[in-house]
Amino acid sequence: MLLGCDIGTAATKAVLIKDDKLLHKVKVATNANPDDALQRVHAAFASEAGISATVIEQTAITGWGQQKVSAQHINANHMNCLAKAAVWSEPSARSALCLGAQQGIALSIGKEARLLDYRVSDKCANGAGKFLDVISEALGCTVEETAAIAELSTNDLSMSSQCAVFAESEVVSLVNAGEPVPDIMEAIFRSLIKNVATLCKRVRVKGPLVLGGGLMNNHRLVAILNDSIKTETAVFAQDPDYMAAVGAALLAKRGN
Amino acid sequence: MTPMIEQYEYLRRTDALCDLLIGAIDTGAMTLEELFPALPPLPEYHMQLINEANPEFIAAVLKPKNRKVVQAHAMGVKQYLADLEQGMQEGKPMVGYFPSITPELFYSMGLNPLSVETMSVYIAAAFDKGIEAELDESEAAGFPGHACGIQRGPFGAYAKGAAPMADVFVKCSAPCDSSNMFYQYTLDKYKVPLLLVDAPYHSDERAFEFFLDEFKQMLKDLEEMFDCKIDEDDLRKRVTMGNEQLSHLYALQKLRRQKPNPDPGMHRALDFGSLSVAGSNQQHVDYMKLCHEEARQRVENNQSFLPEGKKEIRTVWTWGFTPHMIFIYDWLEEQYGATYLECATSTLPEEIVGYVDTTDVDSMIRGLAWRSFNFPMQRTVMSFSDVYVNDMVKIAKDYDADAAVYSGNQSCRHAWAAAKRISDAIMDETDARSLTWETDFIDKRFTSHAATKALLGEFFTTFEQ
Repeated sequence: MLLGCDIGTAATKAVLIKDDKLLHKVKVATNANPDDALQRVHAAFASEAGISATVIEQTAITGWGQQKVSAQHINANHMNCLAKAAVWSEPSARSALCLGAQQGIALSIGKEARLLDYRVSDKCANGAGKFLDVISEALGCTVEETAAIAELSTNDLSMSSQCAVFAESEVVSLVNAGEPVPDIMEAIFRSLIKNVATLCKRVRVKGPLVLGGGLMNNHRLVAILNDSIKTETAVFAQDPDYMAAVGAALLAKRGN
Repeated sequence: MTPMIEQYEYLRRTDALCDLLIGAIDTGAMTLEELFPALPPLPEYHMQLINEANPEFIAAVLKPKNRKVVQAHAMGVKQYLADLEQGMQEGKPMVGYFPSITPELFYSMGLNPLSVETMSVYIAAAFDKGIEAELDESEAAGFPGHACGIQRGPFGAYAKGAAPMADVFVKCSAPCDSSNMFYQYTLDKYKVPLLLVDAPYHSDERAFEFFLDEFKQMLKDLEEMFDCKIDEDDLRKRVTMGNEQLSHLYALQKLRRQKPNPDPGMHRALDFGSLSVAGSNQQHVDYMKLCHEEARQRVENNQSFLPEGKKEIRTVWTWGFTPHMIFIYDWLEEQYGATYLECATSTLPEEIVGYVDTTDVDSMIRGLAWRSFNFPMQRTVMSFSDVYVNDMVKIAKDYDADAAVYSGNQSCRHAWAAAKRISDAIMDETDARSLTWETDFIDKRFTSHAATKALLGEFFTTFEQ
């Protein structure tokens, strides 16, 4: 049994796989303490699935916290994790896109899940989950509610700001100007996807493009993305949040 | 008599750095721990510099693959500064030049050439604080903060009186916005004449004839300004040295096609420094000869400077090296087996540039103009970007590259415009993946050493799994 763990800045996602099959998955808050997060992952596997840490043959870790974990593990390269996971999810995958809390990553994939090329979003938060966090707070809703709100939009609004900080100010101005919240939310989504589409172009994504990362749980964002890039897409077979964790487990299997 | 260059902190620091490098390697120490107890008593100024030296730079310098070569290079720089000192003592007019025009002609006219931008590279590479004070000074003096540190540094040095002001500046109108701004700002602020050799847009025979006329006009202007003439024998001696330097570089470029690449990556920055003062002294020829000799021996003896068992990742740097962290190339070799094949700021294709014909003054002027026309950066930015793209793809193919890295300053606008085309073309033609990131060549605060290591580490780890 192999443990793949993606320790992000906000959440730690972990999966157990055996014979390439996903057995169980858990998500815990990282709380800026990767060692503690890993311990809580083990505790969750034990309590939720009755799986003891002693049966885990290999642990591979990717993400922000990988260098900060003291327990023995394999450091799995994040880009290779995403490439492996994309092909695991969709065997004919040619590209992958992962939109996490802090950054977006687009990659192109060759034969046998070989990473061909990748690009990471620039320093700006637009195109990443943090951007949506900031905006949803400004609009007084939760991130989970944003898709349903945006679907109620009836008018096109344009956002001039791509920076999260300026966009937040612009959102407040639009609310004060009486613009309906659904229209503002839809405009925010389109602004975000505009950046993501540029990222995709930089690696010349081809379909099937596998979509992962927490933002890809948002069906409205996925719909706008599909409309924008006009490439065959497939959301990661399990919860898209676990894409990198699955990739790490697959790399653990290779013994790298 | 107190040396005149000691009045100028920029030059004094570079000169003392050469002393320290030469002396450090003479101690026989192979590590930082061995070095400090082995150092002889040093003047106070030198001791102060030791405290400011970047430990990773010094550690890389002391390694067997780098030490003799760095020492040879430091001797070349030391001689260059000694010649500059002598010229200053003799009251020779000083020519500040952008290094795409090499200084053989200036010396042969009895002038005193100084590439102040090249000095920025050495200081930034060796010291933790580098030339950040000069960078800040340049902004305070009105030079744009978004320009390249290679120019911001000297502008700040002039503003602080830390570098001697030239009597005339000479540069080609290529390659970059930042260098063009630097010379124009300096002209505006200090009223020092600027002789601009106009570089045409196209890169063909007609364009070269235009460039040659511009080049000759620049020489004529210098003759009139300073009542001087080219000394043919001196020019021939210097051009011959430059040709010999290039013969070793061309040989090295062939050797770097071997697997594993036998030429350590840190040397690319030194190659640039050496090329920018081509023909200035025999020590710079000896530097290039030593690089060639060490690489040849590694190939003949089937040796590698990579850690045992480390798989090589052959890397072409599609723009420049990062002067303020030239130790990074040693780090990449040690950590990831990533070797440095070639870069756009130090490559001179033999089949295009060739040698300067020493038959007579006219042939030498023509040959030197031709070399300037095709010099790193100059050739890169002229004409349609196809020239640049094709050069990089050819290198990636000829050297069988696994990876390509583009690191540019925000003001390398001409190169950024081609960066994606280059990475796409290299991927299409060779399957080598690329990394692109933004840095400043001199200012360590723009993209920190830690952030750069994280970026590069992530990229090169992708090849391991």
